[in-house]
Amino acid sequence: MLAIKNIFLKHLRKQLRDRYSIFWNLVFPLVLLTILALIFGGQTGEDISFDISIARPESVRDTSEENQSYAMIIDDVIRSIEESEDSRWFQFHHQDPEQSAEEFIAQEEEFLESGDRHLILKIPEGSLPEPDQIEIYRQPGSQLSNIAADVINSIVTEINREINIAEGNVSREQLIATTSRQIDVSLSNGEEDSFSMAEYLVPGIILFTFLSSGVEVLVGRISSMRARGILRRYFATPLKPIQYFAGILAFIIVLSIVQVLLIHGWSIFFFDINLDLFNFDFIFYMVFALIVSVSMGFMVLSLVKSKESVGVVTQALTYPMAFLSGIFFEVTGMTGILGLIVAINPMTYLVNGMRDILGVYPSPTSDLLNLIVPAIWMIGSIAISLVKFSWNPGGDS
Amino acid sequence: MTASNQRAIEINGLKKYYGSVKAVDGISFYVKKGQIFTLLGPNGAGKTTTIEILEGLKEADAGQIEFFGRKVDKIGSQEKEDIGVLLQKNNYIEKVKVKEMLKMFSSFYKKSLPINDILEKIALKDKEDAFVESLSGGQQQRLSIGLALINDPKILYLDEPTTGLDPQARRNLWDLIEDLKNDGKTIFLTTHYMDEAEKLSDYVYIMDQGKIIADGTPEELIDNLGQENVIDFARNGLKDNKIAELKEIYSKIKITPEEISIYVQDLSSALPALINWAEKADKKLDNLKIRRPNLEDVFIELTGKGLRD
Amino acid sequence: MFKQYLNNTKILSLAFLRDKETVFYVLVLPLLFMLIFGSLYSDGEGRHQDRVLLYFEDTATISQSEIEEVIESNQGLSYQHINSIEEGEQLLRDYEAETLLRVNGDGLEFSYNPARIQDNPAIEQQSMAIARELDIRKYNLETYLQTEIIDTGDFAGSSQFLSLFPGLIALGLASSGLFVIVELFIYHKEKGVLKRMAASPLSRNSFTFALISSRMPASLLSTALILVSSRYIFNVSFNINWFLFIPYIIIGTVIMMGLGALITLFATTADSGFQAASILLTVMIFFSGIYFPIEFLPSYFQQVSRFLPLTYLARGLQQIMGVSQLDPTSLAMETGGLLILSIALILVVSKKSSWVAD
Repeated sequence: MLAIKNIFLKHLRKQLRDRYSIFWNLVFPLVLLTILALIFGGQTGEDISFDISIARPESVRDTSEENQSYAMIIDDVIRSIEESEDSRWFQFHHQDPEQSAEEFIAQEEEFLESGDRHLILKIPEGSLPEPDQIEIYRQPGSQLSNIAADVINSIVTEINREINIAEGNVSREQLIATTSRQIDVSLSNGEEDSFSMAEYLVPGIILFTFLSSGVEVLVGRISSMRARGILRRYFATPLKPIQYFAGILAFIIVLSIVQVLLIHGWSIFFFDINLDLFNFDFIFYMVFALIVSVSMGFMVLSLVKSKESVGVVTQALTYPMAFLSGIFFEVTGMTGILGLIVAINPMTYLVNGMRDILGVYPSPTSDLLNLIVPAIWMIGSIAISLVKFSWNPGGDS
Repeated sequence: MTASNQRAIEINGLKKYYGSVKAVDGISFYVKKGQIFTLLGPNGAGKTTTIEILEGLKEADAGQIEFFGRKVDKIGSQEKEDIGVLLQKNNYIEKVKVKEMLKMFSSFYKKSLPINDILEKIALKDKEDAFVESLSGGQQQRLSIGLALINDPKILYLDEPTTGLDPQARRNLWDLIEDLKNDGKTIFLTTHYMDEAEKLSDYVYIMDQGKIIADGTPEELIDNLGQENVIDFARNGLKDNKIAELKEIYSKIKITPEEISIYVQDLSSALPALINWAEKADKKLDNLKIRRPNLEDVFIELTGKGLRD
Repeated sequence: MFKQYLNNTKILSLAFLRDKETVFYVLVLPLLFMLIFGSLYSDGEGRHQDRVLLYFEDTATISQSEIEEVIESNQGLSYQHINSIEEGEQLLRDYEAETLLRVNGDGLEFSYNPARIQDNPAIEQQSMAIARELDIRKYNLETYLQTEIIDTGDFAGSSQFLSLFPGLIALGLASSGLFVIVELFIYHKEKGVLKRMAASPLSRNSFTFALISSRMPASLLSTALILVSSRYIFNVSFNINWFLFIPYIIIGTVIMMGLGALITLFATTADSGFQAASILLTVMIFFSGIYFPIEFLPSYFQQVSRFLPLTYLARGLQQIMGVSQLDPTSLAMETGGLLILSIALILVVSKKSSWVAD
């Protein structure tokens, strides 16, 4: 018992002394959670505004009293946007009176490339009722530009509708009413009114830290000690391998608990979300996930004896498992070989299960599969480890 | 006296201090061409610092160096062309084959010997395509010697060449070193193994705490002890009062926790006296050995401590 | 002198390429990322159509066949009838469809899955297009103002996808160059490798130069792999300015070495140096805007990308590969500035480091 405690303490101390271990195992998951929630969570709100340049024609054709020019219509629209509370979303840039539309566009295109503008609109010269065209200059590499283009498209659709109504082609009541809504994806009490990307990510990040601990940390520690012959020396003493294993496992468990607490604390603090991580079902599922990861770690140690290769093999396993699982982003659309990996990846099912239990998102895969597929991996890994694992490769096991 | 044109290197008043620590405290010696010179002393004596200054890895704080007749302030690139070096710890860039390593080092020098010749000499021809890190300890040491020979140097510095090797590998290396001497190379060797110093050296400098405390051929040094024989036996927990008794009988005794060594001139009187004492003290004389004195004994005589202390 | 340099460069290059970690980080990882992120961002031919689930209430007055026709006429859409709203919502949750259209009276209600934050704006556009088209057909409405979208740059279509590839090449250069200075001046020094070489007349600068050069074959190989794979897997080809491209690969690697030199100035052990480099590499992956669009990060996060060499490398490669407009002045200034800074840092570290540990 004392031996187990000492092994555990030794690994704990090593973790605490090593700044980089602290960063990768404790700080990095929080950073990852934050960045991904911000990136995939969509607009943050305050910072976003669309910079749109408006290029006007020098002259307007057929300006008779009855027929409005498109330029005037669009001017009206712009003015009403600027005066409304939606003005914070838009920043309009107008050309100098002396400049021609072409000159202005050429000038603004540079800004479009550099990201200082998101869209350039070229207003047509024509007037009602002759159809005409607005040119929308877009920078396809920019998310914001694409979204701005979509927004302008919607606005133009609305303008067209209004013109049709004004021209008497149709009455407002006749038009098809279109509404949109978001489906409810939460499973718990309908309190949750809006989907939160941070909530969606938390179970994934927890699973990711378990994957790292169980596979990378565990494998890294044991393999390095194995290679340096330290384990061989231990087992020349009365210390039994099983005690060593228990000690290092205790360390991994404590590490995981700390990680979960940190993630939980951070999500409360930074995202103001409070997931019920401490219900029995979820704890069971977390322990299950940790066991699956640890057993995979042992499988790697059993199959790869050389210290040099083990680090690379671990990464080669961890990266696809993490990215092709739905932990960071949705992967159901993947086809071909990637789709296959997603389908056999135990992490896919584990993260679906975790999200389901927390009521964050209903699992696209069945509850049964969420248990069986990871279990198959766990059993398979344990089986391989029992046969092939050696604390002392090249010597007696 | 050796004429100076027969001296490979000569140093005078060499000093190297690290703060208050006098690693090398004013030493002077010379090394004759074509001979094996050994710098013998315990760890921390200043041997490695001395040899590193001669290899051009460190700069002395004071003192003069003469390199094959040329006075130099320090060992620079020109001198390094003629030096071959075996460091205490030899590590190399990984994932490089033996042959490639030799090629790489040979490119460092203006003139170098053919790689295959070196491979034959160090008996690693069959390992030429192996990665350096996959070689055994003894093989790596041989490679290191090969790299020291690649530029056909005038003088070879071997710093603790057999430390950590198994007995067979040690013997193989000794053979190689003697071989090199027969090829006419000057060899400067440091070691804390007295058997190595005795076996290989033409001349020995004994160093302790930054100073040279004695020098001579191995035979001269041992003869100067003035004792012809040593009697060893196991101490077996012999108490101080009994040891005091022995000290009254014999003038020169060395006591260690395991062993007692008595230095005597004349065995025919010393031995019976010992047996007599043993009977009276009711002490069994286990592991009784009679031998000639060695360099370790010389060192103890000079410093009061062992080479391995 | 030159023969020595060539000889050593060759041996060191081979040693580098034989290392399993090199193979993984420089060659395999960019490809892995290419597969993952390429699939994620390619919404060109590879992706399926957006699936619209149709549910008609009994009160629906818009004709079924009309809606089906409108949907079919849009290449990017397909439809499927469902029997209940619950069934439809479940399909949306399972990511098996993009939108659920419920026709009630003469109104259309579109439902979306809120988890698909990135995809939804485009899906909403498609939905609005359906509604608009129905209106037009039914009332024979005029489209007074049409919109024509003009994409700037040589490539239309999603450039998050296209800029991925220059970004991956930059990643390969980073993996190749970032660690070598730490390796040389700290790792090899710690192990005593440099000490042994210091006992020879070897010129230190010559060796440093050879070691730096030895990374280039890996960089070039990584680049070649990415270009070939992207052609065969994603069917993309680039309008590469070869005259600038090859030198840029080399320059890019050197710039990454400069970053490694900066780390070397502050790191005390090889282990901490390598760790710091790994962290820096990860930070660059997340904040450079290559693999994840950073436009939605708060502006203080976005500012980080300005300080990352990887950002500039990726931008430069984008221009040279024809993904974005070539701006010779800014390219020269950014690249040149970074190159000079990197060389200076490498020289400083080189002068400062002794090959013989005290």
